[in-house]
Amino acid sequence: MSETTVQDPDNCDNGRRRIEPDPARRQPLQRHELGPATVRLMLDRSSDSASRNEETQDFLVVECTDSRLCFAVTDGVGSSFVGELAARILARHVTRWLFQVPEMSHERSLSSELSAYLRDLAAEADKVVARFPIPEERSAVVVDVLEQQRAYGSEAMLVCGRIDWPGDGPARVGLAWLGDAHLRVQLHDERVVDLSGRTSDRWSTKHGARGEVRSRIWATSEVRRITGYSDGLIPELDAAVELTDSDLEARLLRLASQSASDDIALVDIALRPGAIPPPTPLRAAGSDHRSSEAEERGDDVKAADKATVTGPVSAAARDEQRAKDNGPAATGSTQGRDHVTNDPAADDQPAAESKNPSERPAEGDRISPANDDTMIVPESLRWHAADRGYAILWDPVPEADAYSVQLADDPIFSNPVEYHVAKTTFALPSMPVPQIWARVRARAKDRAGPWSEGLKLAPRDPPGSSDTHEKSRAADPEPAHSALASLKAPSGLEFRTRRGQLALRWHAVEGASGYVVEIEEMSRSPRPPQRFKVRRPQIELSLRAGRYYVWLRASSPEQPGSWSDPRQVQID
Amino acid sequence: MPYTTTATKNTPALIIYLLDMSSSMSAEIDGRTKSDLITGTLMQVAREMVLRSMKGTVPSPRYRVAIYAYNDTVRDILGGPRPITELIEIGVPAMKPNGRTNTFAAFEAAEQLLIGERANLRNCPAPLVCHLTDGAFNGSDPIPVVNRIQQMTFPDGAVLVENIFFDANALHHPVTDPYEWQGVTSAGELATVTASHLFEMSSLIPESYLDLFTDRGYKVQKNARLLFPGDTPEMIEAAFTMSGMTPTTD
Repeated sequence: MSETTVQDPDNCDNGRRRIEPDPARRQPLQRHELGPATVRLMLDRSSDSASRNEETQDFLVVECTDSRLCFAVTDGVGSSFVGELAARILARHVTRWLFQVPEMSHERSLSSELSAYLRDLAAEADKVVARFPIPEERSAVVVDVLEQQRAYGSEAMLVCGRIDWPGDGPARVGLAWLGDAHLRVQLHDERVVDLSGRTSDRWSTKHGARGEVRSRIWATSEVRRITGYSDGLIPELDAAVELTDSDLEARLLRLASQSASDDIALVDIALRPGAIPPPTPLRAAGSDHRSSEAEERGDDVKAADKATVTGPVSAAARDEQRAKDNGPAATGSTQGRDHVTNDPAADDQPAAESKNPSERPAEGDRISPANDDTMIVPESLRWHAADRGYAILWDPVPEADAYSVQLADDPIFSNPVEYHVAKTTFALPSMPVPQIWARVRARAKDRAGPWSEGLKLAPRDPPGSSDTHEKSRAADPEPAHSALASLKAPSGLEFRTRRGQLALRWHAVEGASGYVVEIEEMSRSPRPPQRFKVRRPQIELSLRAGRYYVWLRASSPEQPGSWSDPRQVQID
Repeated sequence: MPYTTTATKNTPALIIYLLDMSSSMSAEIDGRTKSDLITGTLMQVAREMVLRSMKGTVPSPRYRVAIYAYNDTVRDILGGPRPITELIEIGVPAMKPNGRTNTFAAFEAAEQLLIGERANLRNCPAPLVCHLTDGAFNGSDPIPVVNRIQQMTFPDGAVLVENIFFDANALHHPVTDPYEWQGVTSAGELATVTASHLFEMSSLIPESYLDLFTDRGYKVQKNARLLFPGDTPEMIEAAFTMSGMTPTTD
């Protein structure tokens, strides 16, 4: 972060100190003692921007003296013209403006004065937008799009604040917000207030404030901690509240590395000692090292045992409190009053609600059901020729209201295509591979049972037009996977390979008079599977170099056994 | 919640356009053939996708687009899915309508593309197939293929199917202003068999798409289907705009 001192080189004691990050680089989490406050700051780019070595569209500025601290966190709107332009102009100027506001006495005054300032700022900022050069190497179409955006203006969201400590004037905390950046305020009695606005609200270099600037004022003595952040932090908000610097930095690094990560800006201000977590986990004897242990486990941190961390408020409790206190925004000073609300405007916006970290599904797991091993596995999975190809069907599972079907071109379903179906039959699509494997599982509401065994289909050699198992068995006396088998599948398969040679051994199966070994080559133009019948549980084969699947089945005069799970072997 | 995965460079959204280029698409509306109107509007939507993909002064390839033109046969116009940043540079070629309407083959081609792309789609927004036609299909009923496509599921949700029906008489009460239109929520609103058929083939509009569409000034209501019947340029624009409403990072 770059740091400048206004007027005097001394820290907050005499001069005004200003901290700004470099938007072109990741700024790791840093801790500063700024007057009476301890402040943590962090700025990072989305993985998308980082991969292209671009600047973040979020920004932050902190400015302080020994008795006053001002900050701003801004989030540039990506669909506006060079959103980072608005973010930087806004953060820098609003921080300066807050510093010189004579007094923060009424919320309405603060909101209206800030709104007027934002309008005036837009007039100056629009000139900057007009002059902003578009790189020459952009294509004509992109230039055209950019000029369309330039006519629209550059936009950013804003949260900002000023903290005055006892001195010449009243000691107050004044916070303001416009758009869906966020403020989290922890009060002296541990209650937490979340403040945010509408996604559609923002500051525009063309129009000034679009939407309503809102504000809140407290006596400084009432406020313990203020956290201002952009929405990129939301997936790790609980970590930002509860974790030490070192643990939080690790979590934020991991967040930033995710494919869909967003830019992140964070200003975390402790107005009281111990209001924010320490830099590193406490290591006193008998102390709970939970924060770093939890970090290693990747668990959410339960901070109840941490003496230096305020009691966390769960997202559910925040929502419950928000629902109870859905009243109008307060007017006038809140000194001496006791209310905890969220900004009611935020309640209207599904975007704000959906960003509740406890409600967001884990990345990549948005609709996965809970696995329930007690659910019955669909049985008698079989296939038959149908009108336009083939179809699979299975016996219904009583408790199921739907089924998942997976199709793959390998027996371990490494890259399946999945379908959710309501019936117990499914018409297969054409898949341009020699064999298809299918499996099914039952679903009931948000639960899903275990997968059935895979059914191998060789569409080029269908079992006939029948859909009954007996007839398909007649067409292929030894079907690849049979539901009628009662001899156990052979187990304990061991194999040894030498150049061009494969030796297999397995455990004997009680009741078996012999065994069938099926070998199938995994290649783009495989030969048909090869089958071998042996009396003893071992075999040696000569094979060309390549990768193969191996299945085993015990057999007797009365019945075939179950096929074993496939094993891969490599022949060099 | 389904349909909330954001389209990014690393997790781009796949949109497959199936464009009916049968002979009826050479009919003119306001001095332009239907096919020219489609091509022009599609490029506008592509431009809108670029606008939604801008980060600073550089467009990020947040969308991948495949375009199939079909009549009796199906032609892959772009040679596979292309990043939006490429499409906007190469453009959509003009197409010459002729022949019949083998809608079944078009959806089969879309299905094969989805199956082939499945490994690339795991962390991406659920794909969307956007089909445009001006009349009844010839040949096999595409509904079984469409149903199977709609049953195909990714972590972000099932594949979405949108239908644009280029027919002024599809609705009992034709749309006069797309910005006031509330969408189609039941087959009873539709005046023709083909329109009813397309209704069956159209997915429900996801909430996330609806939010973004509403931000654009439209008033389509919850529980409406991804079905846009009408033959005005404004309606076609609304329909194509909906096809690009995958959430993106902002």
